Amino acid sequence: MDELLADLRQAILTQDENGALEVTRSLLESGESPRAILESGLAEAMLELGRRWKCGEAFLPEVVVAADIFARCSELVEPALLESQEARAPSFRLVLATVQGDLHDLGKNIVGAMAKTVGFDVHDLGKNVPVDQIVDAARELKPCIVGLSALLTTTMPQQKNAVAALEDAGLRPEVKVIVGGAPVTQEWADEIGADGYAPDAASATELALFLID
Amino acid sequence: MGSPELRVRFQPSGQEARVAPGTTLLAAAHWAGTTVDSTCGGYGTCGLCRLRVLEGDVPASPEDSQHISRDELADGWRLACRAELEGDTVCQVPAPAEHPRSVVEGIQRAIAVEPRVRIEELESGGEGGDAKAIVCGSWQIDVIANDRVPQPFGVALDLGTSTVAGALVDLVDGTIVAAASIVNGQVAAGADVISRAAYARSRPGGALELQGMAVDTMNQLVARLGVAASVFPGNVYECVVAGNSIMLHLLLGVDPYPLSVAPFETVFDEPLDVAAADLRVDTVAKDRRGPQLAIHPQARLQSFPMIGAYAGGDTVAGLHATDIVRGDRPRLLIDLGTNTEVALGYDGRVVVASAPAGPAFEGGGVRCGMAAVEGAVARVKLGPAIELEVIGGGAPRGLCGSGLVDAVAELRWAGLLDRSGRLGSAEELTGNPLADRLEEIEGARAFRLAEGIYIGQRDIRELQSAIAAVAAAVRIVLGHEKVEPHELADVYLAGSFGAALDPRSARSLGLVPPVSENAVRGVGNAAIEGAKAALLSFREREVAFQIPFHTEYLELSGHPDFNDTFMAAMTFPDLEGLG
Repeated sequence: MDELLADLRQAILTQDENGALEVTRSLLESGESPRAILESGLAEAMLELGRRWKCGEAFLPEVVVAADIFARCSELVEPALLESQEARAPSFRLVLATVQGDLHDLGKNIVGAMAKTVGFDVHDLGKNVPVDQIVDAARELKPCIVGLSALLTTTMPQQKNAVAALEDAGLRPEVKVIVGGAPVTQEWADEIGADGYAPDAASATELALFLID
Repeated sequence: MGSPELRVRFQPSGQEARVAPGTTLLAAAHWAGTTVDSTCGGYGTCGLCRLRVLEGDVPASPEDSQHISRDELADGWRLACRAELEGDTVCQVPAPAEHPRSVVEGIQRAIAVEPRVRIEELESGGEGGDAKAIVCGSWQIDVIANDRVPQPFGVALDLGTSTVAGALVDLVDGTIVAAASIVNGQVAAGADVISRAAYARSRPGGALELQGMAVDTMNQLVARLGVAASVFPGNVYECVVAGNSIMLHLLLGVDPYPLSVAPFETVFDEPLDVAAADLRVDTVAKDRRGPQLAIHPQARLQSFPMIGAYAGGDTVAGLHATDIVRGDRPRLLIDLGTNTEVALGYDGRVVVASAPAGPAFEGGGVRCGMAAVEGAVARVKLGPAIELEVIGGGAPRGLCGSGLVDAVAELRWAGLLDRSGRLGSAEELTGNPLADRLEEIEGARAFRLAEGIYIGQRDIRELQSAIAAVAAAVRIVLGHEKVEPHELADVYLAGSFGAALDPRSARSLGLVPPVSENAVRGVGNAAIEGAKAALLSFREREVAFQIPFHTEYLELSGHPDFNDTFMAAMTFPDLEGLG
């Protein structure tokens, strides 16, 4: 069984879609716990791919394709998971947005795809999102974390405005805020009172896991 | 910008132009390539640009009556420079009077020297006939005694984000007497255009502070050019400036904030003709005087028109220099930089997009990266031995953009790098003669190019992202016009990085589309070339200033195809297919 889980991880790491689907089916047939397939197989592989991405060994296209394969495989696991009566891992909600004035959404989309693979329930508000809408979403969806992306020096102040507006709405500190984007730094995150900064989607996923821990 | 919808035909040549309503017949003639006499530069004063309208309605202008009789008016004669087009038109153009002209070579064509700055006989009266007037278009700049009339000069500038380039030009024979570039003093306020826009907003008077820095830089440059050529700056009567949109806004004291956030709109985009001693947009700054460009106190400064927030006067000037708009075969202009402009032109129109390439082409964000200055590796060959070409010839200190592109392309050819951009490990590559140069630095793989100079896996990823942004822009622009790469007649690479690039390496990495190597040409600073053409010839200037009306701008941030195309472009081309 452990061997099959290793095969599954390898298939994800090499973006072998057919292989991954096949091994997932074999695991389910052989009675492996669906939660183990998800966590020790699929999610573990995605975390490893994230580590490889951070050191440059893997790259964006591989991560995106792998996240896609992940989604196909977890569809297979889902019915078994419901049937199994296994205690589901608690689902943590993550709201994502690219701030107003900014139309760059590739980085934010990849954060969303990566976060899903480690079990986050991701709500993506899209790009060019005004602060009001971010506050409304935080109030209604009650996420654990709000992730805000800004790719331009001129739109970074919107991250600051959003943190302040969430404070004013009384939603902090329950709702954590993480920030990212090319011009964003840890100092900026500290300055505006955000709970964390991540330089890339793999780090953002790790940061999100750390914050809910 | 609006698309040109009117059609004008000039007889007897049969040359045609498609132009926007409101364009003058003279500008349309320039666009079509038809020579119409004129010496005043289009101000309705010389009366030489007479032509006859055969078909279509062209209203007479007040100036017509000064030069054209009532009978002739009824017969369709008009001054081309005053006649604004409202509908399709056919005209008869008289044969131009032959007059000798100086001619200079541009990138694509010869340019007849007919500057807006001219020396004219003073009209009778006043001081009498022993003085001459120096005029710039309809502006009288100076009156000088006959025996002391100086040689007139002009200066063409490209106000860039990091450097300002300039050419001091003799306005009689069209030669460049001095050329230089210096660092833009605004660099202290941020490296890229967006951080300049943020700086302008970060403090009261920020935009004016940046304006001052730009003008100081330009003054230093003009002084340097003057010293180099022994030309007194007071004999410079006109300055023509190309530059990106944010730089042109700042030059004229306009806060560029709207250009820096979605929906990325310019505050003004028209070419402005302002007093060099009072640089401002008078509709924005009504009372406050602007700073002074230290040339003749009555001189004029002409800025280039802009296409959009990220396709500015420099793009228009580059398009004009390469003349890709008016050709009949598709040609591509790529101006490589932090923001890379990509333009596809043919058959009277051009499609432009701007790609966010980031700083890797300038050596930024790269471990051993550096600017293209002394000590930078500019060329790399990985054969049995490693051959490095170092700027200045000394010991290598780092890699500039062209060296990085060469090195990564050579790693591909040497089999150390796969199409995904992953550097192999020493174990995987046993037997490869270069495998012993693979090392592990800070947890990531790296290739040792020379003592202390490495190309790391992350550096390759930086370059890959920059290339993918450019390649995505090229694919989207070509796709928009349904042009296949093999149909491209030429690919021009502008900018100093473009000129330094090895076309084979650029092709191997997908930085230029798969065209034959001879089709790829470095054209240097095309923006300066275009600005120079506009300075030297009022006809060239009119053609250049028409370009925005023939241009479609594709906004890539938020473009539905950008993310997927960008991602697909991250995979390097298959080397087999390139030969």
